[in-house]
Amino acid sequence: MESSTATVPNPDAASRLRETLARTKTGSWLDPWVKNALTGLAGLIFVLLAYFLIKLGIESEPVFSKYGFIDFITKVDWLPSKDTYGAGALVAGTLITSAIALLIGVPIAVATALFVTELAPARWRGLISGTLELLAAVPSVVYGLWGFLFLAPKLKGVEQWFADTFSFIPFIGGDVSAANYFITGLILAIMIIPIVSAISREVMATVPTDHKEAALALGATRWEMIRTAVLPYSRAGIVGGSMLGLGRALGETIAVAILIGGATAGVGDSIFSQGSTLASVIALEFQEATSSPEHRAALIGAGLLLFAVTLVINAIARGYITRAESRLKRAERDAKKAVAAAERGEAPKSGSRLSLPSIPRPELVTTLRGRKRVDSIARGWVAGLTGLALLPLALLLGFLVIKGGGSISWSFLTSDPTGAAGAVANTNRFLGDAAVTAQANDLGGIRSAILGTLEVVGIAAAVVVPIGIAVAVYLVEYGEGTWFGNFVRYLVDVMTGVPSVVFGLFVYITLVVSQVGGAPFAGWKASVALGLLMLPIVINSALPVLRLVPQQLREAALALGVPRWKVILRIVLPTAAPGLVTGSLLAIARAAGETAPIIFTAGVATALAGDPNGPLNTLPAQIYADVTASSSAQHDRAWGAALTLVVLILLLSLIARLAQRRSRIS
Amino acid sequence: MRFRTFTAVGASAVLALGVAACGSDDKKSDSTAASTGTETTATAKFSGSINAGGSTFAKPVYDTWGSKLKSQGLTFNYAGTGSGAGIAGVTDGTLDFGGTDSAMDDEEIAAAKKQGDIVHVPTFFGAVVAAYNVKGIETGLKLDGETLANIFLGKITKWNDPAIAGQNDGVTLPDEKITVVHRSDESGTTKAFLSYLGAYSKEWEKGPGVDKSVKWPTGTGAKGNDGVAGQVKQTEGAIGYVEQAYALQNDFAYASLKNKAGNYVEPTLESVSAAGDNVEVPADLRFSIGDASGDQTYPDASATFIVLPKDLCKAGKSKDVASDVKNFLTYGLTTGQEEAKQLAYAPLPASVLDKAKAVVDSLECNGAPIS
Repeated sequence: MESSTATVPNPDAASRLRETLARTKTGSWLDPWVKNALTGLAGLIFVLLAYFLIKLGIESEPVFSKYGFIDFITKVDWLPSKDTYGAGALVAGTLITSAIALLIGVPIAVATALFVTELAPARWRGLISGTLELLAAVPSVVYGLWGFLFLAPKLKGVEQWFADTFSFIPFIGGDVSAANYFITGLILAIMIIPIVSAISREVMATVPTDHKEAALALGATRWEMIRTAVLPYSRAGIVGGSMLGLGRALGETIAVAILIGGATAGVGDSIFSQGSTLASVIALEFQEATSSPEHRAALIGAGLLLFAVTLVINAIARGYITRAESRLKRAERDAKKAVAAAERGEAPKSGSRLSLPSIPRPELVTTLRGRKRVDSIARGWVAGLTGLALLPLALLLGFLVIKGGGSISWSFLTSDPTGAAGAVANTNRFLGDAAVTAQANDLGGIRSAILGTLEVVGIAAAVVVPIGIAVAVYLVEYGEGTWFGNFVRYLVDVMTGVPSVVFGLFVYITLVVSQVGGAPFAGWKASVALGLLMLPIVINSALPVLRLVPQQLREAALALGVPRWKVILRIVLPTAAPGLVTGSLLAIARAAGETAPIIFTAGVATALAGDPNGPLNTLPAQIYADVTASSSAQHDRAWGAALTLVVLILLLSLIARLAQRRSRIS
Repeated sequence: MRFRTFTAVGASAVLALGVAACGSDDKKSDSTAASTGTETTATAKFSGSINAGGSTFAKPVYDTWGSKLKSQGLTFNYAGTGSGAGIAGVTDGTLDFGGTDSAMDDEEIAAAKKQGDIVHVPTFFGAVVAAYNVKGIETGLKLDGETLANIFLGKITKWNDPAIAGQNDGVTLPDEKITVVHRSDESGTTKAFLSYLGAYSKEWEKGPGVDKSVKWPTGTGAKGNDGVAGQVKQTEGAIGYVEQAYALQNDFAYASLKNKAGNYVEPTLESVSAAGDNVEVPADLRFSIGDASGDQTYPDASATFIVLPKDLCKAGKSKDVASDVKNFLTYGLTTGQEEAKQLAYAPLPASVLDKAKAVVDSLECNGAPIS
């Protein structure tokens, strides 16, 4: 409407305005309904999570009441055949592998972040951080595959040498088992590097340039600048990122289940012994557990424990990250004030945050040459550690492309796996004649796995993406500042921290065992498990995008009398659309690579089956089944399936990026 | 003889399906029923899919049966998750049938009561072999139960230990460390292997004991026969126990084991079949062959079973599934026996086979026999 209508009273224009207003106002009766419906969807999150907790609580009750909480988590005695369940060895295994992951992963991740933000030439920055993000997109089962078939056999000799040479150090020495705590921790380290590095990078990027320049102006070397300006300011962020990495390591399932060996009866003597974690034992034993109700209760108890620990760790992590952010904001504010004061010619107040008490710290090395040497050594280390972070990625991708590319052919993609093992038995030794010789079996390809993955993930996305966006719309448009809105946002954060294996277990006990829908294992149940996993990711990625929609757009529309629901539908969602697409696609990409929830729910199938109410084959399940086989032909199929899966995920991420590029608000 | 049985079974199944099946399948089975006696008789004998799982010991054979029956309309999915998981899958009804190498004990039967009466169908015999990966010993080592037990107890740690050398004159044994590989899941293969160890070693019997899973004194765990085979293959100096087919597939050397009569016997069709010769089979078919007597009997053979509710329909499965499972079992106990032999398993002795067939014939759907 032209502004002239307001100043020049024109009866014609006024009636036109009334008409328009009347038209836009139509449907305002829908407003409360839309609000209620969205509130209801948000409330659904509460119902879901409450049911989830109550169900797990009830199902695990027998084991907690038999052993008591403390005994259950401390007693080292997990022996299903004797019906004794003390999860001490599992708790220890979880802690040991996570500790190794942090010890190796965090320094490397921080070094990569430093290298990217402070030292690398500008044109390398995007390349390195992009490569690290690639590392984050590789699914757990592919790490397991690579760790099991490449890393573990290759490193065994080195581990044995290390164990023999340094056997005087506690927990090192003895016989190296092929599957062990250390190799598991190493793979976990590689898996958490991208997370820790990304958050450290974000925090380091916000260190005020003034501070860095001030340090350099005072004659500090690059390394001294990093030590005195960058690291102190980003410490809280680094700790928070490491805690998030820890949360990931604790709940990681499939790679661990493949690499840790599965010994539950005791804690290994050294870091090169095999063991179990809370997550791995759930994945490895759930199928055996129903013949003994106590065994099942114990596994669910382990899941509940894992959930609780992850929840606490994630809460601490978020606390640190929020603190880091608010501290940076405060520092910026103080800096601005100080600059303003300086411009007015006032002396900086002593005790202000800008005064740097750490600068005149006594230095161990004081000569200029010495300081320069320290600087170059430190920079060399940072660059070296960055290279170390990129090395596994290069190896992994190299193997994936070479091995996987070698198996992939047109017929590999268009035929179904036969379910047969790699070779027909060499039975002449058994039959006592030389007539039968070994011959290769036809293994088939991975068609049913590809289509099954698309189907399972597609169903999950079709249901969960709209729900997730709707909940996010509620939180931004109606729930901002209300107690209910805050509560739901908190629940979403809680949901983000639930390890995927626990969701798998939950769907297994609620939908699979009770045979909802007539069949025990079914593709749609895998969709439910993946959907539970995707929901918080979709919501959390939609929230910032919706908040970025300029408030003026909403106000302008509302001022014209457009009903709220129409504002959401016609103004907010279209404006935010590219960002919403990006977030949803990234959530889908994440779900597509998940294995643990699928093996609990979709069952085992080889043939092509379109019916979602029956067992469906999927790429992650196919890889998991083939890794643990002994025949190299099956390993080849696993590599081929892994490459296909990674390409699928990267395609989704690429489309997500392209969508983001179209966004006008970001 | 076999051909006649097969045809008869095929024909009766087709007739049964003529009633049960619907739509286009109906016409197909009618037309094929008319041409009784040809190979195509069995087309459309199956109406859907079977989802089973459990024993990895028996998996190669079940998979072969499943793929042979694919042309007859069967979609067969068998998850190699271990005998413990096979029993659990029957108990909670998530599987149409379970494979297990050790018969369910009373406690397990009681736990599965909610699915109705559970029946055992023995399907064939196989040998659990002690397979190893040691450079220089390609031929079969000779081992007795006590030595093997001491290896798995961690008391014998080198391949050139006098206890091993004493039984193997003329074999040059390397001064190499022994790495024990065992199962990490609940396994009937484990139980069969451990009953051999337990029979010759008091220390094993009183210590870790004989069960589907135990507290291992030493070694590396792996899931399934396939997992153990994979670990043995990857690890120089390793010894593990697997079903013979897995050892043959991977070209492992395996030991000749000393039997009750004091002879070192290699597992062959003859020596494994001999294990079933004098077996006493109770009415419910829950037997184990273990260390059978006989001069040339392989001492570590095991039967394997398919366990399922007698009345699958009452346990919540459809009529189609019940009839498919019955036809699958009938195939396995007829044509399937020869196929098992080609995969290095021993067919059931006639006495056991008849009893197994009788169990299959007695399967019901909602109280009525499955015709």
